[in-house]
Amino acid sequence: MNLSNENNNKCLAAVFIPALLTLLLTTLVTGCAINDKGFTQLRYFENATSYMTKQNTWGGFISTHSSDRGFTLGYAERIKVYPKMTNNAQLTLDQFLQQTDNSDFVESSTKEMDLENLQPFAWFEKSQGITLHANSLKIGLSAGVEVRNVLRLLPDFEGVFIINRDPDGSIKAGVQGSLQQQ
Amino acid sequence: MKILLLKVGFICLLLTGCQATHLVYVHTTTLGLEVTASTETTSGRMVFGYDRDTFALVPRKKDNEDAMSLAAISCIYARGLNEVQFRHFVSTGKTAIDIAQDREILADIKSSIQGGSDNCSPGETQASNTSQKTNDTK
Repeated sequence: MNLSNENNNKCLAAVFIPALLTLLLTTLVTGCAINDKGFTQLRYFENATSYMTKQNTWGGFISTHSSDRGFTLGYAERIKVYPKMTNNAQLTLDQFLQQTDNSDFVESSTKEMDLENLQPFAWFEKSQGITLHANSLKIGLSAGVEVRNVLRLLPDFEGVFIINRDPDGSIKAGVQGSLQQQ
Repeated sequence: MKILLLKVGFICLLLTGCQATHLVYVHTTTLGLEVTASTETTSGRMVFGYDRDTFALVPRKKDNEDAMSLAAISCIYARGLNEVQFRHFVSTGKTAIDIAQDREILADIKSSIQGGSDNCSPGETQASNTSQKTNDTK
């Protein structure tokens, strides 16, 4: 029994140690990033009612934001949608649906936005490699490929939120504090 | 491994308690290994291989109170790891109460969320794997 366990441990070590070394080597070659600093590509977008960020990172990536707090060794893609919290109570539901459909995200300058103190209402994650999670949804470890789509609202949020992400990657979003009753 | 999961679950319990603190909709797909514990609930998750999970959590406003007012329509379609459609309409508070009482408005929202289609699948030629949900909670 002990011999069998030893063999299993040796097999696991033979698989995981080279995999870990390969990932560490990849990190050394490609670099690493902490939030928006380091070897990462971060782009900002906005539409009438929302902000959006798209981030791609290769190598090591540490995030301290509550939505995706953790460490990824490999490839990480993060798309986050933040509310502007406009409150146009004159808008009817039909108008709001139409506005959301017509209001595409447009790329903006990095300096125009300060999203540090905002919580995203929705986010999309793709991680390839090893990830340590310590975020607002889960804690633990994953290895391999993980795709996660999340919508998360505070219980005291009053209003309407729409998020549409299609298989081709296009995203539409809309937020309103309240709407006119029809 | 069980001991590790118990420890993780206990830490989660200490951190968050037993109740959901946010309104949450999640669709997640894993290929590989995952050992995690939810921080919104006290559940754990261990995956080795391929797994897909879709769930929603509706919190109470306060302890011993009803769930928050919510009118929501969701349309989630997934095929493989990359082809995922994630569409949600969520309204809360007084707006949710108004919307939940009007069938025409609900039908309009459903049509909008489904992109004007009768069902949730993004293309007519694509295989159907749909999940639709309507929650009216007061």
